[in-house]
Amino acid sequence: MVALENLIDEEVYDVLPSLDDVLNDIKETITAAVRVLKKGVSVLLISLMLGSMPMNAQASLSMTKNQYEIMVDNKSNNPIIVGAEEACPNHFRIHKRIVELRGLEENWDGYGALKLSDNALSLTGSFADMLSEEVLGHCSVFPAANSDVYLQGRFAKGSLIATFSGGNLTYVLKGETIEKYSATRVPLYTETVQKLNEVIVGNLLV
Amino acid sequence: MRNCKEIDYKAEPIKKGDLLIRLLCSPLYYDKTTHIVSAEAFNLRMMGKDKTVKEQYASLGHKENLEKEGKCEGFLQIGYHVWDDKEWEENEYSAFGIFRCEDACKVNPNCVEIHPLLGDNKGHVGLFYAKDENEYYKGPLPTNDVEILEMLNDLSALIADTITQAPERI
Repeated sequence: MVALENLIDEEVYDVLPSLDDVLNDIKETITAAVRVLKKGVSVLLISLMLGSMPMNAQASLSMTKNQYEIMVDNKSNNPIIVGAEEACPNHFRIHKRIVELRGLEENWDGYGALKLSDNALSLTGSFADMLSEEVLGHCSVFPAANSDVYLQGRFAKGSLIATFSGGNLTYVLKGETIEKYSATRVPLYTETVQKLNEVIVGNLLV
Repeated sequence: MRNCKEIDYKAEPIKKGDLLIRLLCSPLYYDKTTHIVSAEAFNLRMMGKDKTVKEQYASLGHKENLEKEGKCEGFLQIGYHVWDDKEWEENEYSAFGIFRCEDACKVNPNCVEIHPLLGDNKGHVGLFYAKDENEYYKGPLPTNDVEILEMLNDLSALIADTITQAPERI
């Protein structure tokens, strides 16, 4: 372990990537533990927090607004989501889709597609949680053959596409009356998604 | 000068106004709730057991072939009825979308090219992605490039309102 208080600023930046690896290891350990539990329990409760493991603390904070649970039927392996379907049907729909995509096996397209990345699926869930219910009503989540995940939005006056690869996302938001917003391979920040949501609600929905 | 051994340079070029169709090989490529088509529907794939075969074009057909075969009961289920190619008998698909050749090329005039293909099936058409002056992209496309990502999104949007699903998949 590295004692952070002993490092000067520049050294802290050197250590950050390795801390990222540690966080990823923790996440993979928890995910593996959940898989083991599924085998022994007839119905397993998985909180949304596990279904959409946050990639950073900012993502974690935003997720407390949608508290509902995803249950997995051990016999059929189908997701059963309990809670906020009436209150936020679109968050519900997107998370249900993510649970379904998590269960896709290799070759899901019949042409040798890879199994989807857990990191990419988790990041997609975190991203979706930061979008408002009305925006998410115009969005869908799709698998990519290379294990990435897409979130696409189709609005009255524009479109959004984001692709999640490992711990990063690339996105393009454009519309008739706005300048284009785009970024390549950036981490998920609450401020970024809130800004995108704000632009969509203010300019693209009607 | 780009050159590709898949393109039939001697055949008549695809006309701007030609109506073309793109088959969606998986129901996962279309969300009937939001009527959004996945950008992946126009991506290029890596195929084969060891993933060494890199697709160089998105496979298309002429809509007129679909209409010609429309009287067949199974035309929505089986690809060969669309392409009139018996070898593709097993090549099922879940839906298809229709677009004009010209509209697809306008999505990204510097990148999207639609050409007739070599081979026995003269109805078979390929959508190619120009990489630079000398070559075309091979699958998969670099979707972390925002220009590529936007192009795939725009192509999928082009067919979103024209999707016809195969009856057994609805």
